[in-house]
Amino acid sequence: MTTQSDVTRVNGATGSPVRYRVGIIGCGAISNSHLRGYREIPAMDIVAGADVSESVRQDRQSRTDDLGIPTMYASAADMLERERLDIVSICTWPTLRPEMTELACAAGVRAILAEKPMAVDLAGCDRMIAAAERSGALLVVGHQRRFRDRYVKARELIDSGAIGDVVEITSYGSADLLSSATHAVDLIRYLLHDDEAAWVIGQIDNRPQERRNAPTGYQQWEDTRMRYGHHVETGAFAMIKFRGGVHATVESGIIQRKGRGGWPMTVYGTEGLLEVGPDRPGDGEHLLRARVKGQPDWVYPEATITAGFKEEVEAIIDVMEHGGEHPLNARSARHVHEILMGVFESSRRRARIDLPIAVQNHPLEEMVATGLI
Amino acid sequence: MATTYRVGIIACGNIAQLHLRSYRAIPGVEVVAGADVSPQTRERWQTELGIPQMYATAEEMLERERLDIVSICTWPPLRPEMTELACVRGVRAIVAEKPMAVDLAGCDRMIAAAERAGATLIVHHQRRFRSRFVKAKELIDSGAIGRVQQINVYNGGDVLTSSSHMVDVMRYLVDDAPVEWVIGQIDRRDPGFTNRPVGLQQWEETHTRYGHHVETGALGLIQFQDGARGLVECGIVSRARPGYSATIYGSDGVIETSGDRPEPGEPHLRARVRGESDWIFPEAPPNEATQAAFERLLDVLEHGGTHPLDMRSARQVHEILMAIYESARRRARIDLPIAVTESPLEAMIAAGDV
Repeated sequence: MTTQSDVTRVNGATGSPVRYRVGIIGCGAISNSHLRGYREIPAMDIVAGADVSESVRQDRQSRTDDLGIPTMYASAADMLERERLDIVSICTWPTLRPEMTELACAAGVRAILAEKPMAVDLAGCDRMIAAAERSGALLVVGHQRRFRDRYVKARELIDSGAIGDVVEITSYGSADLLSSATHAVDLIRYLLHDDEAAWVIGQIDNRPQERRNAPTGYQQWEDTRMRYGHHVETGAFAMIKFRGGVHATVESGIIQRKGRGGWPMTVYGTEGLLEVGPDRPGDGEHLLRARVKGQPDWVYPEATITAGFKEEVEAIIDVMEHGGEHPLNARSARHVHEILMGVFESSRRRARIDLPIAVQNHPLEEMVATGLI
Repeated sequence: MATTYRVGIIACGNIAQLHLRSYRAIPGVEVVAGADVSPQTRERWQTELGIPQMYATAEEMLERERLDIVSICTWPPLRPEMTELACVRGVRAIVAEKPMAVDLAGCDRMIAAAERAGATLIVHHQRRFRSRFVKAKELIDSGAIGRVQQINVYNGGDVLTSSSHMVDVMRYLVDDAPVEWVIGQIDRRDPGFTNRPVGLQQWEETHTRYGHHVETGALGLIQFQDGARGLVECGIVSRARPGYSATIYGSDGVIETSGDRPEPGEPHLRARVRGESDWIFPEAPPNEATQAAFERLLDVLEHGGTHPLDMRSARQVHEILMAIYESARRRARIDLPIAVTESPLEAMIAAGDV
């Protein structure tokens, strides 16, 4: 699935190097990762951006570093109409993603990289999938962590049989389910080769936030209990039963045990276990370690800190040029979202939720709206 | 000459036979009487099991027999009243079956009665005395798996009837550490299973078991104050592991236990411990846990001290179970102690919330 970004691609018909015109919708904090990632790939030309904020537009246009964008628009529709883009990143809040996806598809872009969570609710996910299918665009959701080296190495280790058959995965989703734990659920699915969930059971907590002012987004939380345009819970716990038999748990927010930020994971197998460390391991922590058969103590397979974004975009190019499925394709992301919705639905209905679930709305929004929590 | 303890058993159903057998295995203990509402049961216990006196009511037995120890093997809704009766009659010790009661109000009535009378009240979470858990505790205490991080317990039954045992086992493995909070969920669909032995038949008709409502499945996550976590899987939420088995995850290894009745050749325990390059299989053949719990009770009666299955410990177990229901009801993490004294499951059903 990986492509060599330093190899100049050549258009078979004209003999000229293939280049991609990239535009960014929503130029807030997360778009910086997109900009840096695209710039690592020579075939990418970042030609335009769109943002509702005038100061953001001015800043992007005046910058000369990696985070500058040559042409900025106040509306995504204008940008899409004028720029004949090949690839669009949708870095808006999730509430806007279905509409932006529809706009981009109607404008004929070839690939869309939507930030996570895919949308707020499954109705939104389905709008996005329908738009992409109609226009034939490739729609990818930015769960780029699954390209990070330590998870890739962890899956290789699992696939080698070193810990036997996977039995249980304990994962940590950081802040709230939609913004953060969505990565954890995607990573679990990655380790399980995209196995599908059979059922989900879980619970949330909606007490006022205890922590104050982590970066982006939390400030609004304290006033509104919303983040990125949708309501969020303060903590959640979920168990996911996969069709292949694996049970996975997700702890997030005030339910997450101490010191487990940065998306670590523990994978228990019939013959051993492995721990994937956090994004930035502290003292005594490791990117990857395992108890494997035949070894009397922990082993420490080599792993490096990588961002995953570049690999994510390279895979987009690979699919555009050679076909096939992107690991972060829209259907996979919808299943992640369905699992997350299942946690909220379990809380609402006080039940184990067997997939597929029928509900199209976000159960948390409904619970808040009807005063259930 | 050793003291002879006069024992009476209130309600002589299935579980009472385990009590009877265990008392009879201990020298100096004599089961002198039983009480049961069923004439057939009274007849059978007298003629087949050789119990000298059988009574139709617990009151009559307690009045006439000057008992030292009473086992309360009724369904849980009756346990508070039976405990009060026994305490008023001056028994020295009460062994109440589990769950201690249906709700915390019931537990508190029992504790108050025992305190007033100066009686020792224990709850029959005898699995804490099972050899496989005792062995697991030894392994943990030896440091073989590092610091305990998570204990998973599995059973196919319901929270009150079955998970009460495993929550007690969990507490045993973490030295009865206090609990900070519980978060959980239940499911109340019609059970897919049919006709396992006692109790489940009524379930299918009434969604009750042993006189109280039960759920079909439950999940609970328990945060202990020492940092360890407990994961309770129950009913249709439980993975395919033997009933009453456990997995203990440490910072450096893992211990897995069998269920109550391992298959021939199935290990009682297996563990990945530090310094060993493969699983080890410590021996822990099934033992008479109830007898061990009763022997410990005699020790407490004779020499003082607190029984590991003491009523206050059992109330903690019950509070954790109630917190799983309360988490489902309130859609929240439940910080202990919890204020509610009713069973949130009963309350939800009465209110039509589940």
